[in-house]
Amino acid sequence: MKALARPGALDGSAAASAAKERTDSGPVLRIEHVTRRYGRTVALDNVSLELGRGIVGLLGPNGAGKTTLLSILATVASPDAGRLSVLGYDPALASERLEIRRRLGYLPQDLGYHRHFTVSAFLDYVAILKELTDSRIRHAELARVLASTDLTALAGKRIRTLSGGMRRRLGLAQALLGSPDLLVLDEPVSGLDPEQRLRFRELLSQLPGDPVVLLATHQVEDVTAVCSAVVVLLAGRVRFAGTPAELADLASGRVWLSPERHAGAELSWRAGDGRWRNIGPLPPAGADMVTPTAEDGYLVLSGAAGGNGAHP
Amino acid sequence: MTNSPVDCAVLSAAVVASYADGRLDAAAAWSVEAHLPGCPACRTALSARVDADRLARNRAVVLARAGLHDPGLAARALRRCGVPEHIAVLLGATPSLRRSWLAGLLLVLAIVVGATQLAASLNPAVAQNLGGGGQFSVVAAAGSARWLGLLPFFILAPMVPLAAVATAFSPVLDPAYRLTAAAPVSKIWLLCVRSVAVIGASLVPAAIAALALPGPWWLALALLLPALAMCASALGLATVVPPLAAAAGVAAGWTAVVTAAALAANTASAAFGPAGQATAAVVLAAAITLILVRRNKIDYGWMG
Amino acid sequence: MSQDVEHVADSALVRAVAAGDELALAELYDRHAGWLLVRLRRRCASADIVELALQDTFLNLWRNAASYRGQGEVGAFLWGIAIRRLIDAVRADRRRDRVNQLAFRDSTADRLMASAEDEVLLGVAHGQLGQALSRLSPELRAAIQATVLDGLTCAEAGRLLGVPAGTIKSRCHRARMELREALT
Repeated sequence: MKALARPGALDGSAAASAAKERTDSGPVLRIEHVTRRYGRTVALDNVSLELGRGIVGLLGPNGAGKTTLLSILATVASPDAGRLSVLGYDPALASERLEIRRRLGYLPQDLGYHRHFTVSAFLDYVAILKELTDSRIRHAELARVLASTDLTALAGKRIRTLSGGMRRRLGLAQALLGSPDLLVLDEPVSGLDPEQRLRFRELLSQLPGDPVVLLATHQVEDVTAVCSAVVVLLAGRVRFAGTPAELADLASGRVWLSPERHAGAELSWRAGDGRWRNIGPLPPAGADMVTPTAEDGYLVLSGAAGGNGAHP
Repeated sequence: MTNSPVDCAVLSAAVVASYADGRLDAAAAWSVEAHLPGCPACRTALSARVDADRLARNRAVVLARAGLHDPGLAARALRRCGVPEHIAVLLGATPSLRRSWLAGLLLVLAIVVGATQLAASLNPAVAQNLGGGGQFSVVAAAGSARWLGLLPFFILAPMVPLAAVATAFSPVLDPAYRLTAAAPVSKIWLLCVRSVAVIGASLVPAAIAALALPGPWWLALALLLPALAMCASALGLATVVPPLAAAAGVAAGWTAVVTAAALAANTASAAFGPAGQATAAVVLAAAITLILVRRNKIDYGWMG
Repeated sequence: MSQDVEHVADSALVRAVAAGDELALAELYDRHAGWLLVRLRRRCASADIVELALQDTFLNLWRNAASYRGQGEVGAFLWGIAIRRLIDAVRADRRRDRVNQLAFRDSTADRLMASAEDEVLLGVAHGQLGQALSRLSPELRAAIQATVLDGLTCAEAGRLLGVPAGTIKSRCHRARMELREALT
């Protein structure tokens, strides 16, 4: 699954001609100079992105604008400025917005459930919202997503009796109804224990039909585990777009190990094996350099480790 | 999964196979069928000849459907009236149509009616005047305090459908509202279907309560237009300000209008007179226009 | 519900279903869905309608398992539900104004007569009756099968076969008369 993620301004004519493009080779999502404010807070500031097929991670701390961006892509919120092309359709036009929604699966952060509903009943309700009005087709679809997310045994359980991990699977299950081409998942694994995260990753890697998956998270390991591309959002701006390996490269030459905490490092912590991991712009001569991880790159980018936060 | 089938003493495997393939003549098939319910071995042998994928697929659907709720009284009644199943399910998820909400509503109405009846019985002169001549005026027999007893009812009753509709759409009270926003279902259509159901469900108890009040019979009908006008205004305003704020604003405005009209004309039902009905009709039309004009906003960005 | 469901009797499973045990429902499905499907298929040409009837059968069992009070075989109980669900599914389909896909499958074209040995195995008594049955015209045989073998009322048989209940009654009557003549 090749992913293509580039930030930056787009040439107007290219954008216009590509607006109706729906082939696999072109970008699947195109965001041009999108801005969104809530009151006086600028949630998204002149964001431009192109995203292709595959699982794309949207990385950033809380408040960085991830939820806003995903809401806009899921056609729940509208941008104050800028243009979008989602799967080749423009959400500002009513008929095209409908086409996006027909191909969309959305798992919002903190999804609320009708707590007295059973798992099946909730999925049935969402399936109807997704225009699956024929009961035979709808029930077959119910059975399919229940099986995909391993929830068949829980079909009759009330949602209020489910654990957190089970509810997230239910959230993914409702997003999978109708076999969407675009899956927008907002922090689907936050708060889950490692085993549950692993199960979720397995589910994501087995999705039928090769949809585009946008996954927002504030933890780097979620991104490195499953994503072929990553976008870093900080304070409403895109600070990086590329592969996890390229993200790690941002910290190349800046990560080293030492037996004790190093005074010259911007960031220094004791790793599991007893040695100290240091990140900083000026490693001492002869230091024990190590290959940086994506997390190191992210730390450099977010300015926590001496980087100025700018895209190189 | 199960043990390998022991050959049945009555039917050979070949006969079972022929039956499965539809190759037996009618009489023999009849015999096989009469035998089957009592013979696990033959049943197992027969099952083995059925397409396993087909069985598995239907098994999954059976278990999924078993998890659905039993259709309640309301849902069954709707189906009998010819309402399609998917609409009945959709309405079942609306908060205001849940039994607990309706029960609370009935309780409130009962209290208001009870209090009013009590006030009327304590002052027979009031009851007498209420029953008179098809007029809107409720003449206060002695002091203005008497007819004030009716005022809370006139304020509350039309607000009942308003509250119902507000709860049906509030992002705070509809747990899955963001899913609704992102789904292909038409928001305007959903609005209409839910509003009709919710207004109907809440107006019926309110109207019955009105009939139970001392007063002319058409009082119940006079509630309808103001109620519709209020609901539509709240929904229309919700496209401009947050939904709960719109509902609260309309409720406050209504209270002020009813109280002011009652004080001015010295009758509790002043707001429901011909002038009041005409105003309500105009407000209703304006609100519907607003909703139509702002329908793009309802469809996109209302909840985000 | 113990792990070892295979050895639990059908009637115990039905009681478990009445108590809300989905595993028991699944086990009953695994035991009975296959033959129910084949038997239903012999009464309706549309695979879709038959599958829907099969699903509805087990869902009906899920909701109404308490109505089984140990009277007779669970298999017969299930068949009673299944054939009535088939009738409902066929009627619903007809109401949808689609071409009537119901056809009692009794193809004379591609048929193997049961061998003589099998006839013996099926019971000597069936031999003569079997011949007499085969000599009945298809509609008479269908009517008798629906009322006698499937245990339907004349009204239900009429709905299944798409004819008025009175027609069923008269066909059954004629069938019985012809059988009596053939056997005496």
